[in-house]
Amino acid sequence: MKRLGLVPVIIVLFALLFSPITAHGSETWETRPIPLDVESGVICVLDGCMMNLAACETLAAQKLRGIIREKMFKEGLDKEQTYAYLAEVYGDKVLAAPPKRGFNWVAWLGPIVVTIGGGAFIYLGLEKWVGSSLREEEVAPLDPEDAHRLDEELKKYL
Amino acid sequence: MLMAEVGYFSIVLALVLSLYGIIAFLMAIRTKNQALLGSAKGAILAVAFLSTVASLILIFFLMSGDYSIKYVYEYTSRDLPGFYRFSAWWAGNSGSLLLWLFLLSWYTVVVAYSRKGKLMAPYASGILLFNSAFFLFVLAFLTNPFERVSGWYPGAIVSAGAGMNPMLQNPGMVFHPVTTYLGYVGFAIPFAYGMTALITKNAGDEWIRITRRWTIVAWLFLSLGNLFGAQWAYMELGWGGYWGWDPVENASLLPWLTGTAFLHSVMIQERKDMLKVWNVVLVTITYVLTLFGTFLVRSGILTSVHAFGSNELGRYFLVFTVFMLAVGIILIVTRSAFLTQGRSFEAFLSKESSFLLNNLVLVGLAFAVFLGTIFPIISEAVQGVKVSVGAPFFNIVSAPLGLALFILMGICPLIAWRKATSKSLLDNFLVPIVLTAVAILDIFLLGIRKPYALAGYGIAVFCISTILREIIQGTWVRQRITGESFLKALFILLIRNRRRHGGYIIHLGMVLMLIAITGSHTYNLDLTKTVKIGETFEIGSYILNYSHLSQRDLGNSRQAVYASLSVYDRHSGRLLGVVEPQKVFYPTSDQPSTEVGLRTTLKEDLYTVLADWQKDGSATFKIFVNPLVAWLWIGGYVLIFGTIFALWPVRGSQSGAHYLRRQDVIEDEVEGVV
Repeated sequence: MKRLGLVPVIIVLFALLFSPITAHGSETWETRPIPLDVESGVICVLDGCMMNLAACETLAAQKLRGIIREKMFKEGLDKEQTYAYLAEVYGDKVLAAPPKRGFNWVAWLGPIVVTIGGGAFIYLGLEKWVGSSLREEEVAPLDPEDAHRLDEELKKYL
Repeated sequence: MLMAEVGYFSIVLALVLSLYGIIAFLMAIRTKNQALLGSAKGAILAVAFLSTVASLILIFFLMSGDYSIKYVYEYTSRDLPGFYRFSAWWAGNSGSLLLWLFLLSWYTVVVAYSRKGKLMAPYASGILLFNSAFFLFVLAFLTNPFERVSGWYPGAIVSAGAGMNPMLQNPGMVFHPVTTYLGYVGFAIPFAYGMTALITKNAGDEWIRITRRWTIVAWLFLSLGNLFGAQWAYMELGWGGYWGWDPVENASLLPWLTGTAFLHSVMIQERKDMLKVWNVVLVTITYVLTLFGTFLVRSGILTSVHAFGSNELGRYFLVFTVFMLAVGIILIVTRSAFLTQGRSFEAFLSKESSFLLNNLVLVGLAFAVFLGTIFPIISEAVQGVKVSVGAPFFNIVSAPLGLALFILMGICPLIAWRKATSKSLLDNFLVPIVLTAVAILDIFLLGIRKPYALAGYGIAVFCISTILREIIQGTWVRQRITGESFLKALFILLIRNRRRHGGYIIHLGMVLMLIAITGSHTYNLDLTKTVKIGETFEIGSYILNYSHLSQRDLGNSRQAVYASLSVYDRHSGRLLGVVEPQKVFYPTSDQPSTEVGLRTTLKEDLYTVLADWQKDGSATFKIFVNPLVAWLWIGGYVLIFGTIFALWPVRGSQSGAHYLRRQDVIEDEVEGVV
């Protein structure tokens, strides 16, 4: 039992002692942070965890970040070019949103089409229900006697 | 050790009794045999009792740490605090299904023995019992919670247990699943009564009235489940956000969306005797989506941080989901002719039609989330390419629909029933529209220029002003009639129609959440920085000083590495506090868990994550400044308060044709006066 309790202590010491030493003062492309909006657009596919890279701390995520840093900060690719490179190497599943092409338009346009279609259905339904006479009738103001009667009636419920 | 056998036997016996109960209900309904009906109800009670016995035995094993039971071994360890040992009941597949069964069986008892709707209860109870039978079958033959660890178990010490996933060792994860299940299971009841209305060709709104509280309770728990889930994600996942659009998160959002649509559309049926078919369709979709969510979590068909995948189990859930959907569709198609409308729409511009639009947007939103969630599977099936659909997709697709929903939330309360005139529209909306325009201009002049921020805040002001206008106007009318003081009139107005005003409080909570979502998505800042001890860096209006990196013992064999960051105000230089993001190491897990260092105010959250550290003590931090996030939680709890306010069982929360008819007349007349 006690031995088991030592496990995290050993892990912590190991992590403290042997984690990579980074040169400070001179930030290199290898250490430069990746903007969050870039990470958020990528899925960690290397070890199959399939989490958003921004939320993933596995070794595979570190490797993927290394690739992104190389492309963006060493080779000077912009965000879209980096995404295109990742998609070419790992397939579209590396991107957090399906590229807007081909069959993927079903995902992008489906909700709009369904909602607009639903709206049209409701409009036609209402037209049928309401009928063609849509003249607005002015509500005549209550005469004082009716207003008094209404007040008296309302008091029963208040 | 005999207890494990007793636990398993309880499940098998409950399965047999549930099958008996279903048959007994069918025969009792057919033959009108009261004795048989009583026997069927007895079977329901027995199933609930046996599921309680099985649950208690599993809890006993979990609390006592009997690692010869596979489930106990897989989800607990000797170092696990008692609080989490108990919560291990729902940490894994079989335990959580047992919890589901436990809740469902007792809900069924309440339905079966309820004095309301005695003619409908036997049918509804039979349908619910059929659900229980499915879960019992799964527990008995696919994922037995009392299965023993037999022989050599790879990679573990049987005397200690493999331990609970560190990410689940968080209070949010203790309450999130239970509340979500209470919501999921709760929606089975309006579904059962909806199907009963179709089976019995009951064209009235009896089933709606019987299940109104059940529906609101289910919705309340599902809302709480989503809220707890978001809080857990915010504190535990360490990516600065609270909603990642993960498939399992979406699975609990889907029935919430359609359930919300159902809650609104039943009002039309109650008041106007309309939308009967649509309500049955909605409740069926909501119920099926709860099963679909369970299928997603259990099948492993989609990758998720929350899922416990098992292909075989998933297959059975899929079959059951499709079966229940098919039954629902067949009943709706064959019986919908009986659900004739009592009244019809009288005008394009009316509260009824605005509710229809509200339903359209909610269902459209649900469809967007559903399509996005399953699109990876569709894509793979159609084009052989698996794509990912994550937050960027959902944010783009759902934002316009979400804003449209909030606009409707502002419009609906101020439109009259039956027919709104252009004069009443102008009277009701002039002040809110002017206030909204002024607010947008104000915000713009303050330097907020992003379209979504302007739209979000503008719509929030519009909604708040319509809600306040409605309440103030009502108070004035009451004052005029009764002569009460403003405060007294306001207080009595609120409590006399709890259902309506509870709804307004819920809307207010939603608007606070909209403000938080808008702020945290449009003006959030983030920074990843590697710094040495003693070094300072800036983000937003803060200066952070990294003072030290240390290690501490958290007890229960957990060790934490934490960094201390002193937080100063950038402008005044005043020390605001110290945050300590940490990584916690567990004996049972290779991966440490992230514990964020958080400084929260009503204005913004300073959210810090210790991402990495080096031998020389330097450390890498991820820092986020998330504006207005506190309002998300405040809004969430306002929503919960509003729901409880609406549910509170005193005068004003009641429904029913008689009351509603009276209310209907009064409100129509009040609207006329106003």
